[in-house]
Amino acid sequence: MNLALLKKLVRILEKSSVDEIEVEEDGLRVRLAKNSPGRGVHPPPAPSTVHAAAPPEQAPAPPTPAPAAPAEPGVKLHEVRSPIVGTFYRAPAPEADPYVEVGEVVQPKAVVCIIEAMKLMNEIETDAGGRVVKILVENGQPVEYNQVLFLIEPV
Amino acid sequence: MIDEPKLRQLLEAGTSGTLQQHVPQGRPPGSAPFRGPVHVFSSLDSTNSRARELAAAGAPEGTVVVAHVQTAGRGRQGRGWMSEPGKNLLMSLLLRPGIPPEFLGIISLYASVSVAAVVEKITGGSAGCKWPNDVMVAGRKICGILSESALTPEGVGAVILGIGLNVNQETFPGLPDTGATSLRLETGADHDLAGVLCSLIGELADRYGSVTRRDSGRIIDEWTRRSVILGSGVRVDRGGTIIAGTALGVAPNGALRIGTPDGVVDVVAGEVHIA
Repeated sequence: MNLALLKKLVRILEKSSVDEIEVEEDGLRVRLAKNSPGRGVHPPPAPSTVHAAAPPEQAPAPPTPAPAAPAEPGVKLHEVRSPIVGTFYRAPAPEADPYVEVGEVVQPKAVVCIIEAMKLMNEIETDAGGRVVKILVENGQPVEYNQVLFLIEPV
Repeated sequence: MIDEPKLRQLLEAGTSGTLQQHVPQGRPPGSAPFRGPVHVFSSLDSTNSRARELAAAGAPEGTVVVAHVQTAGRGRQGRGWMSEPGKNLLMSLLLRPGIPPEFLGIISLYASVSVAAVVEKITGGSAGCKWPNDVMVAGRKICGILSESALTPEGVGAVILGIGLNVNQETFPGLPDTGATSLRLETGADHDLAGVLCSLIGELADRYGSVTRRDSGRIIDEWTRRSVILGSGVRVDRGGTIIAGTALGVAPNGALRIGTPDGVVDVVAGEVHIA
């Protein structure tokens, strides 16, 4: 992938209404995203699929969202995204400790949360290890497909 | 196939042991999808927890964990699940369905229609299904299902289907009279746990191809036929926003279709209350 192509992609992104472009060529993948606040972080939900929140008596929230830990400037953060639509839980049970806290270092394949959909409790693993910089969703809240849940800084 | 007499010996004695399933000769491939061993435990904290450990250690699909007593039976999000020792069927089944995450919801309907089929065969009456995975008899809950899966970056890992079916228990302290029932309460007779387990594994095996082939039509048809909420007014709390409408049906991925004044919406998570 040459520089000219990269510049061309940037121009396309700037002029378009989409927030992100991802291109893969010869094993090299480049993702370009617009940097406006809030954009690209929460992709819009699928038009006809909605989420019903869990009933109020279950899963009293641990104190979330946790404050963000400062990340090194310029470091590319890894995003853990939700693979399904469902309800986000930070802990396996209401009285249990959360799987991860901000500032904690996690290993690749560590379970970081549960997403419940249709009474199926799905443990979500992170594919990259590092320090948890930010938890973007509150316990017990609905999440959409591909929504960013955690930001992880490589260590 | 499970050696039912040996299973009965273990369950009646309340002792631990492992039975290997054998596949009868001449059976076509796919007709006996569950070939894992059946582990019987006199006491366990939770059959789901043990099944997860076995899954992590590479146990084959169809591995069954049964407990005479559960000391820390779990419901959804850590809710307790109480059962008198030896009275009910407390089991977990290990599945490796190899389906994409968006199709996982069908597992809840699959489990509930399989349980409903067993309940109907034993009671001779009808069982009802409430979205997504409750099985009811005359408005009372007879079964608790807790399914768990691991979603890895590579896709869906093991799925643990935890099923607690009320068999011979007659009273349910802490629950209103209208809250729970059992096969014993519905038929007036005790039922053999080994027979109920083999029957349930048979029903689950019979429908498993619909899950792995992602051909949910049969499961959805069966669920729809038994539904106690379709056509009813329902209310769903969506993160503080109420969706109210009529339960219209179930989408191919198991989502509940609700007709609202603003159009049809598919609900995939949370509890639905009949309005």
